[in-house]
Amino acid sequence: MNRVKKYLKVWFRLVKLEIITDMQYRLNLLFGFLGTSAWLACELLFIHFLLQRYDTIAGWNEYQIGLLVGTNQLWVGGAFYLIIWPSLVSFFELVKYGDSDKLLTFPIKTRFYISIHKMDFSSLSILFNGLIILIYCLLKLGISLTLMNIICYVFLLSISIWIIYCIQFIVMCAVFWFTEVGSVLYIINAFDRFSRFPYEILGKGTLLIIFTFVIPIMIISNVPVRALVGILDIKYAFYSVIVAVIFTIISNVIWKMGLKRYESASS
Amino acid sequence: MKKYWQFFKTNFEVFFEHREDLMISFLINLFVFVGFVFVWTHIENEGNTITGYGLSGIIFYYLCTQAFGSLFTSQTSRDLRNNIIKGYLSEKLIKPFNVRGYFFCKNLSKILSELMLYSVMTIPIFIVAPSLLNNIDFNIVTFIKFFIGCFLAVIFNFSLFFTVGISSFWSKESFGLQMVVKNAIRFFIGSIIPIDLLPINFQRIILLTPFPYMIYYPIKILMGDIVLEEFIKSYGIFIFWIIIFLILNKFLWKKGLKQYEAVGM
Repeated sequence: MNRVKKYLKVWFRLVKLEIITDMQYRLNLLFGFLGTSAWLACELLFIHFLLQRYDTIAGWNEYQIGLLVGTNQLWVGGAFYLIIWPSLVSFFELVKYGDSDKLLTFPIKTRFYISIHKMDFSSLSILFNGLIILIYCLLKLGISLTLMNIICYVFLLSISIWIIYCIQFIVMCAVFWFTEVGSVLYIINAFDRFSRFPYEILGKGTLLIIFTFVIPIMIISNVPVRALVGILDIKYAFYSVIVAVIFTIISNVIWKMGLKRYESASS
Repeated sequence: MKKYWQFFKTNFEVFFEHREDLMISFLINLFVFVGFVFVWTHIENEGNTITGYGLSGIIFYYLCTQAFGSLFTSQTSRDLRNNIIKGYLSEKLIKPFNVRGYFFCKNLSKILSELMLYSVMTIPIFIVAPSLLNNIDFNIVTFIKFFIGCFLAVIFNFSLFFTVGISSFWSKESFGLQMVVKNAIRFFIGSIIPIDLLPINFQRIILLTPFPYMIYYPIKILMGDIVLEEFIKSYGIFIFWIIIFLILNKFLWKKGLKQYEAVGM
């Protein structure tokens, strides 16, 4: 219990420091909000015009796909660009330029620290936009939610966020072997677009298996949304948990291998 | 002119030094392309018609947006921002060359190195699906129009992103502004959806802006959809925009230099 308390204390202190830093650049924060909103507006226009032309995609109408987009924005803004991306990219840079030694000596789990030590609060605009889209689409679809639906949604969304974190962490570990491949960090960009469509677009064959288990793009937003509207095939919930466990193990193994490989360029 | 050729050559070599990184970047973008392929394939399999393109045409279009992606992206604004806020611009200002010319050469070398690398990387896709090549209008006039279109797109790309970068003279927090511009133009350039698939009123407005000429028009030219008369008329509008931006660029650059604090001197 004391350990949890200690870790939470560290995290709150880091949040406070990051807020102070971000508040120094208020104009940048405002442009950040505008930039992410502009990005989302482009994506919404794409889906709007696409479905204005073709009515449905894989049987999903504009508002149903809107739920996928909204959920996508929740994990992108509320976790990925808020903590995961800035923290892991910062660690990638520290290792690349040989400034990461001191982190390894902190009296705290290194993996915990490097995964949460940076934050970008401008990404909260993505989260708020996602919430607005989600609520708007639910109202348009006339879906009344039960408490159980909401609990399942939050639980499965948390699992998805954990999977995304593990993937980004595995990718970040590439820095221990190759310091000049920063582009690999952008892999989630590819996930992001894919996960905004219903998994039926892949059919029922090999592709669906690949994009569920090997590159689990299709379960990231699809599974929580289906739980929210009550159309989830329960086996996909199990798949999510299994994938999360597998990726946790892989990320741990790669992290340990990476640390053994670490050359400590600055010492 | 020789010194600018050297800038171009040196930066070209530097960009190619990071070719592994560029290749990974392309493969990630290719994943986005695959996403579009699935969506459009499903749309056609549901019995819909992709007007003016067909499935092969739309796949070719999205493939081109990835292969020619460097026409609408740029590091110039970020580069200029770093030079201004860290004071590196000072040493460039006292050397016997035009600073804007230097940044133009750097941008040009980045665009050309990416264009070359990405075009080569799309070859395996054409080997797997040779029918995609049927979407290219193999005609000398088409290729001349395409190269003119790309050349003007490169000039506009520089003038747009350099103008955005100049804002760093007034605000050290211009990174956000760069993000706004980069994100907002995505829809107008036609990289998310071809502009001729949008409602007609929307098309009319977008086609009055300079953005579709960065990627939509070059691809449509390559597909043989822009006849010479339309090409002359459309690119007249584009040249007008380029002149406006170049004038704005020069004016803001002069104003900005007066604001420059030369940090670190």
